[in-house]
Amino acid sequence: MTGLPFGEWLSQNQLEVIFRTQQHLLLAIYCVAAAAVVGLLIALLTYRFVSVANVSIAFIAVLFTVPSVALLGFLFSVTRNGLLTLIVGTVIYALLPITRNAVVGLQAADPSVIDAAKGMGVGSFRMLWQIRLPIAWPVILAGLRVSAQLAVGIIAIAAYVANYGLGRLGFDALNNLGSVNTGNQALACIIFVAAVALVLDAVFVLVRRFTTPRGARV
Amino acid sequence: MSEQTLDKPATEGGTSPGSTHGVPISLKKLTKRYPGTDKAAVDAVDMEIPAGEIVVFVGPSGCGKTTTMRMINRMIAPSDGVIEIDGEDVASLNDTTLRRRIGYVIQQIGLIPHLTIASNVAMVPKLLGWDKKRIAARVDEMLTVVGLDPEQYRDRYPRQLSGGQQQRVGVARALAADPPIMLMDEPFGAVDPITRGRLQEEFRNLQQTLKKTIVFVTHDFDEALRLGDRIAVLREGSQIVQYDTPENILAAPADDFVSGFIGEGAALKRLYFEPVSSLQLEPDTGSEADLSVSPSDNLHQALDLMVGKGVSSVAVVEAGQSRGSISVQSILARVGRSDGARS
Repeated sequence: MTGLPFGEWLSQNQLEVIFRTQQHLLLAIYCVAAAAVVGLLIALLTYRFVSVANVSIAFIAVLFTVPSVALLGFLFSVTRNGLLTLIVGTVIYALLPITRNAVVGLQAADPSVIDAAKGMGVGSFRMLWQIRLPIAWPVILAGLRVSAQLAVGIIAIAAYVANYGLGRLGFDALNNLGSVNTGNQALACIIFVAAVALVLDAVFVLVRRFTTPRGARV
Repeated sequence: MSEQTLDKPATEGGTSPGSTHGVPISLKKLTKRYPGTDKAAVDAVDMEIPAGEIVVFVGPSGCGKTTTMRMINRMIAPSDGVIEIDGEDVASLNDTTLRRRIGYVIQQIGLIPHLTIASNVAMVPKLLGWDKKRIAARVDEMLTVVGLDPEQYRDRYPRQLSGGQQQRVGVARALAADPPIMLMDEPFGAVDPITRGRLQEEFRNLQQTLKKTIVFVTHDFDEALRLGDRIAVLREGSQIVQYDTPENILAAPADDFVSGFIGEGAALKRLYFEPVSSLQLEPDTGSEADLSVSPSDNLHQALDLMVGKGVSSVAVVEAGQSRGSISVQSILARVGRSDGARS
């Protein structure tokens, strides 16, 4: 007893696969965007106070170490809502690289650059907006990029509590171990999750290329 | 990266480097006390800094010279005392307004890495809301003034320049909004000795036309001699040990601390400040025909020439006309004078 060849299985299920791929990509974008807002806010509020920044990063890092299945289970018990669990859980994991990189980036400006600018009469808002942020931007972007990769993976796992995204294909495969199409479902999950991750990565490469000032390129 | 564009004097090229001349600064009982310390870092300093002069603060590290300077543009808030610029108490100005009127150059330069050279120089004019055309013209003018070809450098980034070139940009940036006052904290301290010498000389020439009031901090007494119209020798607590012209400090150091700071060869260093024309010229003997000095050369140059060539006298020639000669003997007689009466 053999299942369908992968190509045939795929063409039979293409509508579902395409739908789930789009869903997965969009969810990843929303979650990273939400994590970016929260993470940058934390970084902007704390970067000036080294110990506060360290404590907040340490706290996020502790959350990061919680096993994802446990966190998702816990969140579901609180929210009683699959989609909310998926989004909150993913945002929590995506938060660490973004916040850490943003703090490091904002602190990275050479003290002499800050001193010279301050001495010329650059005010604190301008200092942040025109000097610290542009200098931090490549580092912040790198954090966003790592977060996007993480989010794609966590969303796949969160399919256990919410029927969204490509993860469901993987769980179906696990639930039907031994059945003829187990391999096809798992393979589709692997390939399309990877495709989503690669597309997001490519977007970040382009964004970096077009938004990094020439003088700040490393 | 070569510095070949930098050989000519910085002021060549018919540019008019700014029109605002310096204004006087006076420090009255200026004090900085840091919490948790008994001794004040700067202890009730009184000082008059005359308009249009370079006043060099020189002293050992930790003496408070940089702290004193940084209180003038309130990068460090004074604990006590008054700073008046052109008779106006600066406490009445807010920090950014004050700083935009004062050029600021630091040893580490601090050019903004993601901005072009032009944007770096345009910093303060932009903050002051100049229009684009005026800024662009001013940027080119300033780059020319510091000896950098605008065509070649305007669109580069700081990291593409050598240390010496970066500090030229640092000076151009500080001058861009034509401030009457410049604060310079060991600006030439981080470049190699050859570049430093050249920057010092060009900077001196530049100041002849700019006539800004410049507070210049250094721990290098020779630099202070080369650049200062006046030198303030400071010791711990920014206490002024001696505040006078380089000539007078060399001729009559106030105490051992100052003598120690002057270092070896004070008598020889004094010769830098004595022009050939200050000596009674002797009749030209014509013996060493092709060696000559001009009346405006200093005695150090003349002595160096004679010692180097192994001769005992040289002709003094002005505009192709012989004015007489000077001898090693006459210079030695000058060195021997210890009354310090000359100013």
